[in-house]
Amino acid sequence: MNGQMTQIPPELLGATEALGASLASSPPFVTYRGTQARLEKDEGARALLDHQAEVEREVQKRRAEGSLTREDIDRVRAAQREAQSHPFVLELSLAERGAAAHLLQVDRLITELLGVDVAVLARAGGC
Amino acid sequence: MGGTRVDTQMIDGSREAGAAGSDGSDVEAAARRFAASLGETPVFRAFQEASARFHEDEQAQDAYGAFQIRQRELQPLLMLGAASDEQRAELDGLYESFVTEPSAAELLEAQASLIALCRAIDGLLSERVGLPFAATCNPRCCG
Repeated sequence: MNGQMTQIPPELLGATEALGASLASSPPFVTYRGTQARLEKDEGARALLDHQAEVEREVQKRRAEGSLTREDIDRVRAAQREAQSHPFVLELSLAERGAAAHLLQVDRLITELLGVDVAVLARAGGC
Repeated sequence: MGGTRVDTQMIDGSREAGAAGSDGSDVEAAARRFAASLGETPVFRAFQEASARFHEDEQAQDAYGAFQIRQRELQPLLMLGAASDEQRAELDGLYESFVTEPSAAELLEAQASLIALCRAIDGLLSERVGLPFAATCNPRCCG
């Protein structure tokens, strides 16, 4: 994030904190954190994710350099497949999807109430 | 307002009934309080007022329309970096005409303040929930 952070007015700050706390203790997020904690304790799962991240970084670099090949893409896919074959990684991926869907519904409700999408505005003009 | 209907079953996260923590009414009530609180901020009100003034200003609307039409026409060339200097200058001129309309300038300023506030909210919410809020809800970037 660039530049100075805008101050959130006190009342809105309280409401944002309350929304964050409420979301964090809702079942989809409790499940998400639980699966995250399980995965972090599992060396095998962590190693697979580290490998996937490393391959993705390498391929990203090659893409930026303009030297991306078909083999690079296959390598990323293989690393992703391998990671997803671990039950804890798969579990985390499903839990993340559940939490994200929950978040999206809340964002839609807020958008419906306000007439503007906070998520869209937060990403306007670059990420 | 039209658009997507909200699935309250999703908001309450009740697919995992019996789990500890806040129930759906907590999240929904918190979301409603948040929306009301954001809607009452001077930044949001200034944006709404500026938006209404801009939409009522025919001259500003015409300037915006002219810029948009030309931008759409030139978009393929701009994306390929193939637009000529003349075409770029023409588009810059149309943009300048639009943003120097007082109601447009006011709206852009109000919008920039609202964007900054939404980014601060995004940072805080993302930190609290452990997922990037805006990037999760609006994965298509950039604006």
